Amino acid sequence: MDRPVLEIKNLKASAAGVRILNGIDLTVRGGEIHALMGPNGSGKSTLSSVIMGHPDYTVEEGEVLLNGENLLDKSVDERARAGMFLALQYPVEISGVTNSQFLRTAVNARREENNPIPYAEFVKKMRAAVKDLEMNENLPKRYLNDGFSGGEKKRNEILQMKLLNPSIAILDEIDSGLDIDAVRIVGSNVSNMVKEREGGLGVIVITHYQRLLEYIKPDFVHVLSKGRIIKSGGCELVSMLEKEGYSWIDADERGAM
Amino acid sequence: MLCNMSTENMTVYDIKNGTPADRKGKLSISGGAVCIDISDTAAVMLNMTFDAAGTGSRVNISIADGAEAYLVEKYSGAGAAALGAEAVQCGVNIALGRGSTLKHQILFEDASFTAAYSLKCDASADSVYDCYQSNIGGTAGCSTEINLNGCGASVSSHLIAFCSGSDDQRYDIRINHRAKGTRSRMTNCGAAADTSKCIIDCVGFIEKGASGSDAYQKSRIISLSPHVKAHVSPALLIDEYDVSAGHSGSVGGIDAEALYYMQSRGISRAEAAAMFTAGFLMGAADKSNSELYEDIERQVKGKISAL
Repeated sequence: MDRPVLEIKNLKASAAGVRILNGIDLTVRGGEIHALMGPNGSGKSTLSSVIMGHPDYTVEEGEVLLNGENLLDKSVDERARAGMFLALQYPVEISGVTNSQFLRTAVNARREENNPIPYAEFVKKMRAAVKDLEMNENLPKRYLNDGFSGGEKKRNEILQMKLLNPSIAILDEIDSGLDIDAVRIVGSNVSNMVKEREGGLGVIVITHYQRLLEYIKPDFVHVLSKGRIIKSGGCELVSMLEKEGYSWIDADERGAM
Repeated sequence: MLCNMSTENMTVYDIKNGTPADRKGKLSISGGAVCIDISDTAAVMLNMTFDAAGTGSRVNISIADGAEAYLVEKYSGAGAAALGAEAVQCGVNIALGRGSTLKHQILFEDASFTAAYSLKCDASADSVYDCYQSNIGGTAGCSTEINLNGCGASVSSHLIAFCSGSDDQRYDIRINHRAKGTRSRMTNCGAAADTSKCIIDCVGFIEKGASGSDAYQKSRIISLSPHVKAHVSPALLIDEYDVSAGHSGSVGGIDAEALYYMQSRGISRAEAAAMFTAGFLMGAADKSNSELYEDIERQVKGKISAL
């Protein structure tokens, strides 16, 4: 299988006329896990939203390519069908649409028009994913995220990821609102998916905390500040951030001036 | 209990142009109205069909003290496509005895006739009334008046309204709390497309003397086109102290964040909008009868997919 490649080149984007991303360069290949860290307001979630095509953001400059194909020309659903997946920080509640109905529609959207997934096959896959994530068995019948706890919503995002088999997944603070056990379950599921897909899945993990990265070991760690990646490295960067926080960023930037 | 009941187990009365096909069981005729008296436990379906202009039906339903009933009213206009405006008039009066329970489904199945429908329910003490009305297309003027006359009476009223093309649907729903400790819940979900009109006026009235009552209403219309006329008026009239009440109403488009979320999983914008709208409307449907639920869902999805 060819390894997917996501290339972000000099990406500049704004929201409501305010520039938030000031030239992001990042390449993510299948099989790689990239951790994206940085202080609040540095542009991490904006980057994920811009890649996915959220209508509130305007791309001013730059490129986002998936396997050489320009994503920025595509609608949100076309980006998803091309292989992108974004686990949202705040998943939306949609009453009246069951998880099962939603997921089956999403799975079929990625298949050829006259070749929907057989019902039995879908149910089998869904049950397996529900079991892997240690979720309640009644989940398929429940309305999409409606009345879910914060932790259930985040697990549900990973459940969707498991069934949709994306090429590149962005997990936006998937650990917020999760208890210790849930962090382990979510983390190990993501990690297993990367291994099982054997280079077919690349992941960007946006997080503030080391704990999630104990389960999803990043190959690369990037620190974002004021809409730019100001430092990249390996896991040692996570330990440094855990000890020192982000106070060194201002000092570094002053030094660079 | 009559919940989770299939329509197969119901006593069916076929009423054409206001006249019953036969007079079996609990049905009788009085003063030109079809009368149904339920004294124990019963499940009844009224198939109301019309094929002549200017016709109508009057139905009086009486539920005895402590009785439990399940009533389905299905309106269809097979062969009535040529009926003119206000051609079909239907009036249903319900009297709920003390401690009785009625689950009531009203289904307008065919959009080929124009209906003027009125429902009046008088609820005695400690009675429970669950009312589900769905109108999936067509032009209709519907008036509902529910009087909670006895202490502890309660009502849960649900409406699904879908309008497209040049449909004109107007709903006046009024719940009067006339005794102490009465409770009402009103949920109205509408969706309007093309150049249709959808007007929902609701009133929750807690009258003098109805202390300890609790009234809540929620109405929302999704506008699927900039050319629709949609209006919600959620009114509360409170003439007593020591009550609780709440109301909300809104008219707006489909939640942009919900659309984005659904699209981010690969679902096209059109399909996401259809799923969202169907889900929104079906949120007001009764889930205890899967047969009717699926029937309504099929009609809703059929209408939306035809847009």
